[in-house]
Order: sequence, then structure tokens, then C-alpha cells
Amino acid sequence: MSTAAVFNGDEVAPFFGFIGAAAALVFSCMGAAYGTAKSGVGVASMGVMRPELVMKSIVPVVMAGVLGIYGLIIAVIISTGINPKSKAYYVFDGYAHLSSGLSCGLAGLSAGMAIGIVGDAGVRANAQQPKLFVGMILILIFAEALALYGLIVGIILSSRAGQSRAD
Amino acid sequence: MGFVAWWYAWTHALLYMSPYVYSAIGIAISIGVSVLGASWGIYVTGSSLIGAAIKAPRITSKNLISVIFCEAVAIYGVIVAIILQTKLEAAKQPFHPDSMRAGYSLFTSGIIVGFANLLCGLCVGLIGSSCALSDAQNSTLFVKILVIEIFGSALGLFGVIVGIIMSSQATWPAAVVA
Repeated sequence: MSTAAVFNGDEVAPFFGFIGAAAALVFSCMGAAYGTAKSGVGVASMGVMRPELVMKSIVPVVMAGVLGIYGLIIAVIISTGINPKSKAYYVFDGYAHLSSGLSCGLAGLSAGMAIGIVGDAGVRANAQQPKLFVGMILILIFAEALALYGLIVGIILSSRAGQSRAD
Repeated sequence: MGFVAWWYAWTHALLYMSPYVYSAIGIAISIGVSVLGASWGIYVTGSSLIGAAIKAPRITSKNLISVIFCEAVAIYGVIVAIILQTKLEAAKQPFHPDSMRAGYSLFTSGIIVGFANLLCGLCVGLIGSSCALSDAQNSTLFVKILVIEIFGSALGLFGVIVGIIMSSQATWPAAVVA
């Protein structure tokens, strides 16, 4: 028997929902931090010899920062979706939010690793051969698309929360 | 005993832990892991800065800003830990579902802030070390690499924002009116 006079749903469900939001942000930040640091070190090393190319070479750093924004979006969507007072929050919703957060977060982590390594190699190579700039940007775009896939699936999954019952 | 007996789910084990456990561990993680990130960044930056300054002592005062960026991460952790502990109150109904939800929200808020600051501190530290090393060789590079450090320090802010949004869910239920 339950004393849940005002709480609708299952008590343990918010745990998984909140952990989903945490996973989205923390893993995306891991990817963003790796991408920023790895390509930033490359830019600094390259800039010693070719300082005029540094501002152009900040592109991988900006793309890595966007991954943190994707994680922030999903984390805020999830944590504002957990509101048992207004809408019942069942374990279905908790697990949906957990999967949404994990998909966005782990995809952001992998994309960040790719952006970091490609950015580091790309800016160093661009300093020696200026024709490689477009090629580096193309590869970075493919790497960024991975995080976008994770964001799309995360948004689809978090919209499933609240659809477990017909009411 | 005032909680639903979900005897057939493994998640029943989570319901036996008091919300105080979750809240306390969350608050501790938010300050402890943030400071870990700040210190990691500071030692990476500081050791590179001191080594590079042997041949170029002019870089020391300007590059201390990288150390300050890492320190800011620890300050974020302190601020959020203080905010979270003001939301921790003596629960009038410890195992009410709303109390459990408040406990979970403080726990995850602490995890988010702690680990986002850990990553931010490490990232800013690595870039700060490169900034010092390249500044020692070519002084026009300092401001340009500082732009990259600012992108890195945004990650700690994301963690603080989400942590504070999530901690607004920590509303404990009122006492049972007899």
C-alpha cells in the first residue's frame, strides 16, 4: 500500500530519468573536452611556425564545443520532463529517458574523440599544405554528424516518455 | 513503512536506500570531483608554464590566467555544493516517493556538476599548457590560444546550468498531518 497521495507513478523511475540526463551531459562533455584539448594542442604547436593560420584552425575546437550543447539540450529536455506532480512518471518513462540520455551522450563522446584526433592531424597538415583545409573540414563534418545522429535518436526516445498508457 | 512494495523488480533494492544517502553522496561528488578536475588542470598547466619560463621568463604573469581558469572550475563546484546542501532538509517522511525523487535529483545534480567540472578542468589545463609552451616561442600566439581555452571553460558552465535546473526538483513533502 502506498502513501503516495500526490505522487503519480513509480517511486524508483525518477532515478533512471535523472541518470539519463546526467549521462547525456557528462558523456557529451567528455567528447567535447577531448575534442577541444586534442585539437587545441595541435593548433598551439602548429601556430609556433605559422601564426597566421591559427584563427582558421579554430574550426575543430568550435565543432567540439557544439557537442557539449547537444548534451545540454537533451539533459534539459529530460530533467524538465520529470514532473510526477503534473504527469504520472512510470518506470517506462524513466527507462526511456535513460536510453535517450545514454544515446546522445555516448554518441557525443565518440564524435568528440573523432573530432579531436582529426582536428589535431588536420591543423598540423594544413600548416604544411594549405590545400588540405577543405579536406579537413569535410572529415570534421562527417565526425560531427555522428553526434547529430545521437541527438536525433535521443530526442525521439525522450518523446516516447509518457506514452506507456492510454490515459 | 510507507512505500509501494515492488517485490518483483530488481529496482526494489534502490528503494531501500534512504534519500539521505543519495543526497549526501551527490553533494560530496559535486565538490570533490570538481576540485579533482581543477587540480589536475592546474598541475598540467603549472608544470608546463614553469618549464617553458626557464628560457622565456616574460610569459609567467600572462599565463597565470590559465591557472585561474582551472581554479574557476573548483569555485563552480563549491558554489553548487553549497546550493545543493541548502536544498537538503530533514525529511518529514523519509520514504515518501517525493522524498526519494528529491534524493535522486540531488544525487544526479552532484554527479553532473562534478564530472562536467572534472572534464572542463582537465581540458582547460591541457590547452593552458600548450598556450604557455607556444607563447614562449612566439608571443603573438597567447591571445589566439586563449580563445580555445574559453571554449573549453564553457563545458563547466554547462554542467553548472544543468545541475542547478535539476536541483530545483528537490522538493521534499511536508509532514504528515495526523
